Amino acid sequence: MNRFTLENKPDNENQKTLGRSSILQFIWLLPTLSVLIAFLMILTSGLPFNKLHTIQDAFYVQQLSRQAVPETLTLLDPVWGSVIIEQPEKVLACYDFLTSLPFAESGEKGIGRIRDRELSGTINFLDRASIHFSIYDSVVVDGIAYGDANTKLKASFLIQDLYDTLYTPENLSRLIDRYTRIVLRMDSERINLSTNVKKQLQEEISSCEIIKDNDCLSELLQGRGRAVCQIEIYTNDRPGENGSRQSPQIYIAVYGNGLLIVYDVDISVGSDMHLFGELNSVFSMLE
Amino acid sequence: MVRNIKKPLIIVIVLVIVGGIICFFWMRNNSSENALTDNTVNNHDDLSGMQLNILGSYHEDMVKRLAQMFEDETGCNVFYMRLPTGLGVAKLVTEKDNPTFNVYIGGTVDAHESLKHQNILVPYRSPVEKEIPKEYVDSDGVWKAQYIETLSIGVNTERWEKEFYGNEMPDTLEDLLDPKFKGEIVTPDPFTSGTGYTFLTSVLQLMGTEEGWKYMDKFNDQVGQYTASGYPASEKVGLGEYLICVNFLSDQLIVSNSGYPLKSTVYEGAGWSMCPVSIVAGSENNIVAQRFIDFCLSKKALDALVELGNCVAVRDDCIIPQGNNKLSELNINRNYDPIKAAADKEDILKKFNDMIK
Repeated sequence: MNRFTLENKPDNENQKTLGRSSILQFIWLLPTLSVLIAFLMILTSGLPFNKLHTIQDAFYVQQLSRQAVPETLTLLDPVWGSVIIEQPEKVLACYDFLTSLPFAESGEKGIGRIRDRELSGTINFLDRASIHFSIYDSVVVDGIAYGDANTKLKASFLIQDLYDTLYTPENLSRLIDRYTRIVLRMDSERINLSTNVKKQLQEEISSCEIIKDNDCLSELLQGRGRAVCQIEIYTNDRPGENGSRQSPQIYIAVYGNGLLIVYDVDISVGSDMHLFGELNSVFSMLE
Repeated sequence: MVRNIKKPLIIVIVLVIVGGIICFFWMRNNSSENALTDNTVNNHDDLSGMQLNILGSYHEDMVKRLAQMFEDETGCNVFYMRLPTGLGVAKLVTEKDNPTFNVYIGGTVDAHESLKHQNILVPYRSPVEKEIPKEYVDSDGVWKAQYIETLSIGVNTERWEKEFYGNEMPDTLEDLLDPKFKGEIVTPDPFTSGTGYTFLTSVLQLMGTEEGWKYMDKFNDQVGQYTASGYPASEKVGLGEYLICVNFLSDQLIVSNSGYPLKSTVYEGAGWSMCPVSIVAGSENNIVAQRFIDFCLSKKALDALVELGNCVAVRDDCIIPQGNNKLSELNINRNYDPIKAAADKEDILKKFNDMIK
């Protein structure tokens, strides 16, 4: 038994040595083969890695890199005014949408309007002429209507994203400055706000916080009660064509718990923005 | 000798491993790409990277809130489009062979019934639907109601005090035909709005076809404007543009809770409707669409709708809408049948079109 064990010992050691060397070979071979395979893949993929390219001059290269690179997007809503968007993902999303539009199919009539009020915009590039577009019944780019049945849907999705940049406390505050007739309405009483009060209101509105968090919004909505007053923004002082009464274009319902709900009358069904803030200084000025 | 045999063997093994690794990564990339377009392959709770397209006929803020809540909860990308009920139905019918949307939410139940019969909406049995009273879930498993709406007459009290001081406010259908209200009534268009159609069909069911059409003919002469959606009618009355609106109570409550002088009266025999959610054909096996329907029936989703829309949720454990009733306390006209309204829709709208010409 002992002899058998002693005789077999060297064999075991040989096998162990062999095993170790196999593992070593395996460790060595793995990265080598990976590099080799990657190299072969590059060589056979048709990519121009080993081809000679001539760059004419630095200016040309610079021009190439700048061409059709969208830089900013200027949005214009007839009521909310203009806003410049610089976030690359939003500018690119808009540019990608406009450049992917198919030609309008003749007689193409989709269901419903894209928007009830025209939204126009300009994409500015680093080194080429700007693109002007408008979105209303259809999508018009530089005076030409584009789009097929799916365009309205895509445009609608795009607008959802772009509108976040228009509906902000800062822009709302600018509206108060832009339009002459701002009315504070409490029960049946209406007060046309003076320049000083408008200025104070502007400050208060721009310092409001926009509510996006669902729990926070839920808490504010549930505890809001009935609105204490409304702030109405009239964008047009003339009565309607058939002598109809004049209505505000935008109104803000102000609640006792600090919630402000903003409604844009013609553009959407329901509210457009929820804000949280205090308008106490405005009320004390009015007192 | 042993070494000589093992060397090629090791090379083969290494090649197999490397090949396996390459295949693994290639397949993984492919499957993640597929997951973006085909949501049926994912069985996990995390829906990130997947997409859901919602067509909604609720108010825009309600659709947006549900979309955002679901996006936050699951991580999937949610896109939505809001159209009034009539236009929503037309859109889904147009896209029948190549649907863009996975789910249709809101609008009135007649729209969902009509789309069900055209096989545009398909059944899905949600595990959450047991929380909802049976009468608010389609027996074929297609639509599931989220809330109930009742028609109401809304009057601008401020204008009433100035222009009709001493008179009784209209609170019946007959009152609306008073010549002094000619041109002062605003109501939604039955062609585009589910609210508008609910009013039309409820009058026909209440008065009988012949008397109902006679009434509608007279009522049409009183109407100053038909709006595309239900809600703007109450907004126009609240802001004083018109004196009277006939639309859903919850829409009127949004305006009166905003502080505008709008008094609502649920008139005798008022029609009502359910606002459901359904899966669009082609998305019946789409896990995201299914999860979204489950989510829509949850208490938190319904509470969110109640908070914004003052509507009466079908779950009795939901919050009570401001100025409205709980479902169990809601006094709805049980003689009105919103499902029958769906069956008669085409003929009724055709006749209405002839009438208003």
